[in-house]
Amino acid sequence: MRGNIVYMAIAAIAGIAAGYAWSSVSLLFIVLYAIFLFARKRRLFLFSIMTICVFYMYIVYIDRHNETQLSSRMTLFSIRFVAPVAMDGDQLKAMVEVRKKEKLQLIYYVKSAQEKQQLSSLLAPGTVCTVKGTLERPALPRNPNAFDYRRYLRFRHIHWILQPQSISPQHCRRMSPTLYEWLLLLREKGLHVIETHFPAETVGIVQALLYGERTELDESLLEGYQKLGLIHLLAISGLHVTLLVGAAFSILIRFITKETATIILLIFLPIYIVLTGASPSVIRASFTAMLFLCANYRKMMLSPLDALSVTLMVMLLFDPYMLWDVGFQLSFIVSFALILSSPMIMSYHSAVFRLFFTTAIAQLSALPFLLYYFFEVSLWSLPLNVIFVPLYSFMILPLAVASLVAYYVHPLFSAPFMWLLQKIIIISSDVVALFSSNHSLSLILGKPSFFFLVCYAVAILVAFVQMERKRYFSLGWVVLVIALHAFSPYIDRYGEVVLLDVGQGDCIYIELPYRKGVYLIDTGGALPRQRQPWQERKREWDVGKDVVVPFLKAKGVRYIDKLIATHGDVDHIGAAEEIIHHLSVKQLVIGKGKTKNAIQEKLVQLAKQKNMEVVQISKGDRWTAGGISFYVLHPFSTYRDDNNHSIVLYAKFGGLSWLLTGDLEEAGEMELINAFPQLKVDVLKVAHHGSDTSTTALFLEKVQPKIALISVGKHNRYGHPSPDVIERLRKRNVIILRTDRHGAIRFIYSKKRGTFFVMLP
Amino acid sequence: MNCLICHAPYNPLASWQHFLTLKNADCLCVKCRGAFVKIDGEICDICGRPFAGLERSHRQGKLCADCVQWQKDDEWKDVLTKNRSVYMYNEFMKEVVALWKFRGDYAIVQAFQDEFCREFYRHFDNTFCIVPIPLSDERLYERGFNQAKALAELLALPIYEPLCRRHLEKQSKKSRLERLRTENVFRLSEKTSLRGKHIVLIDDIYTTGTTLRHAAKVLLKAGAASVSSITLARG
Repeated sequence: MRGNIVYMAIAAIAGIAAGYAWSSVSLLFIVLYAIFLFARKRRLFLFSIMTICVFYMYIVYIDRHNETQLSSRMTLFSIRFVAPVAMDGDQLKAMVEVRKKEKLQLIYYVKSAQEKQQLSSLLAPGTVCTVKGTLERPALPRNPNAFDYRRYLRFRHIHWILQPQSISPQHCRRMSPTLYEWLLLLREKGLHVIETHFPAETVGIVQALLYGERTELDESLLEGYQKLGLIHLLAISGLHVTLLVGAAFSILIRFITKETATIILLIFLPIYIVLTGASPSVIRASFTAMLFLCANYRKMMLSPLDALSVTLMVMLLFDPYMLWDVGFQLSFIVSFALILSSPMIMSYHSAVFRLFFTTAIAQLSALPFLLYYFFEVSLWSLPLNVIFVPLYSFMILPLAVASLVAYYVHPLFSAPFMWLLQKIIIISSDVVALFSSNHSLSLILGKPSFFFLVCYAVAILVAFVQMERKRYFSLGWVVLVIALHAFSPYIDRYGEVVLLDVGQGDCIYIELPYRKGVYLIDTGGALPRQRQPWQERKREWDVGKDVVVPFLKAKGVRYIDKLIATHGDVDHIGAAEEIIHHLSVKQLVIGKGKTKNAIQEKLVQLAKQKNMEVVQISKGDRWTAGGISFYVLHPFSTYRDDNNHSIVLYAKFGGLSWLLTGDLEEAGEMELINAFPQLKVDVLKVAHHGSDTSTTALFLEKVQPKIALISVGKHNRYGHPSPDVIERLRKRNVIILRTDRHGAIRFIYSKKRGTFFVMLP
Repeated sequence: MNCLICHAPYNPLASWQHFLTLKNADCLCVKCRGAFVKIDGEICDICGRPFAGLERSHRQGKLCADCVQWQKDDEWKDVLTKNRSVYMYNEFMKEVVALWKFRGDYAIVQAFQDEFCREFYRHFDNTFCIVPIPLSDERLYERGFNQAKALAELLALPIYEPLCRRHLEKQSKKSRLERLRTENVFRLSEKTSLRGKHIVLIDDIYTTGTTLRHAAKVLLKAGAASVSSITLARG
């Protein structure tokens, strides 16, 4: 069995995956895996089948019992804060426990600067409060490939979001914290020391490296690290733990025996896990280190692969839902690949070569995961990692540790370390900013389908096996799969129209069959809010950055052929700037006629700066792409600077005729039916989010739509869609699909037919 | 796991190939495995002696001086078609062979499995007749196993044993000249027909090539078409 525990670890993964969601794919995998083991090693076969069964039943049991005991009618709660409280602007987020059993996610909007200060000093792990509030189910994803918050919380055994009306200090008191909570408080103190005593530029990175805390990191810097594939450096990785444990051990054995040093470290490591935020990579690295220390103590040999496999199984027993954690997946797959590749890496004697291979193998093994979660990879990733990995491991991390230790000895001693640390971090941050902003060389490939995931897995395994025999051309297989993946939309005979759920606003994505064209009609956008300094969040939610760009990247859209701005309102083109920064846009299309609209003016300026073509269109214009003709029915050349200047498009997708109307109001609709008296459509994008100033009975009478699509925000302040409009549509038996109720509305079509899909049931 | 040779505990290196094929891990530790030196680069066409590190005067074209001498002698010309060896007979190999042959650690032969087979199939194939160099009955009793046969068994091919050997003093106790002058110790054990067969002799060490040539001569007389050889080490 020794040396072969990895096969049981794989069995554990298969068991959990199959137990959580039984599918033909998991069955097929289990059957193939069993045949493989049966043919090769009978003993392993038996143990693995047993492991599959145990983990299968375990997840089934856990999942069945992962249910709420509470009901949405409850209003009075006695809560205990069990995790650090995150205060961001006017938003307070915390994890609380009720009735000592069930955990809730608490979200509270602080009402004043004074209250904010009061609550930040009051609330901490261990505080118990009585609050009045309401329970709400966590949101389901409203757009394709969007984050599933409900599942995310459910995997943490949280089923409700608690929104208290108020948290009054009179109803709160500090209880004596449990050991765990005490450690969390210690962590908060440690973070505070760094925040107040380290140079400003270094605070975020030092907190990330020593405590696994990223909240103080600059948002754009973090994005840069993410984009360039360097983000793993800001997590506490196996290398960090190995370096720290190694250093601690070699210092300790100068004073005490090896055995005592081992025991001290064995006690300290679990504490270290809690202090560093217990992310999966820290747990993995620390637990593996503990296994090695134990083995060493007992004078036993332990193979790294066995240690990793045991760690994986123990972690999954502790929390089987962890299998779905991105950090968990990346941490294990990279460690696994590096261990199996170590003979290959060791066969080179030059340190530079070893570093290069280590980085390349880590990148290659993580590739399908990175594409699945982030949809893109940067070509800079490899060379930058070769520089940054040693920089972080042997300069920044030791300096950070030295600064902190020196600070605790005497603040004066820490000055030279901090000075050097600051210089290095400023330079490295500049490098990251430079590469990520202008020359990111990002390959946007999109979210791989299951088929492509299998292709990637096979190609990467073949490449690794062949690389062991020094046949490096086998990397060509991986390149081939990447090329096929990049090319796959162009051989897809289906096109797609998507009304994204951008809240209150419009954003329509049109993809022609065989990707003969990608158009974006409006982008959505939020009105800038007037906020006091204390209310400002570290990172404001942005519809472009958080909805539209991820949606486009997941689709593997590398450039947009036409970005059509129907008119200049912020809820239509507010996010355009963000999209132009992230993706390349070939052409900006605006309505003809001079405009005084400041937002549109700014957008045109930006487009010219980025060397985009700016095209003005009006009634009578048309273009054809991929066999589909787009007719521009509006605006007329007479100038108007309001909703009635909206671009109106008519086109046929999948056998249905569509009218996309922007924010056209009554006057515009009248012009339209006067100019095109024969106009009939199947699908009407209801103008102006269903406002009663549009979609008149006369207009409906004329165009006779069968399906009405309304892009409108949930709980919007304008009361859209107007009940009158809904009534008018109902009267005519028009099917209504609306983004506030259904989430994004997708229409997938081929030449003759198409089907509507909605995100929310 | 403990190393088959030095008995120190070690972690077998897991590679992708091991992982995907469930191949058994190496039974030697990295240090012992690394102490064997494989023969590669330019070698003598006949005896397989590596030219690297050999003085220029010992080399004539594609042959080494020894083989030139053998070829000059009409009696021994072309008796052995070619010999190939897997490892150099370095100090470490000497120790390992002593442990294996003379101290009877039979299991060590496993350590040679992969590379011995690979070398065999590089030069020969399964159409060849495998003939291990035999021991005399007395020597076999003394040692308990025939090291050449142990190597032959690694190939998992049918083994022929048409030869038997008279008991003489150990080869390793003799000088080069004595070895060259000894009379042939092999004879055919039975009247088997070897007509038209291509034979590969298997032995542990090629030192002067006398033993192999003696055996080859007997086999050629019995009608073998050609006789080649493969040995674990090249002295």
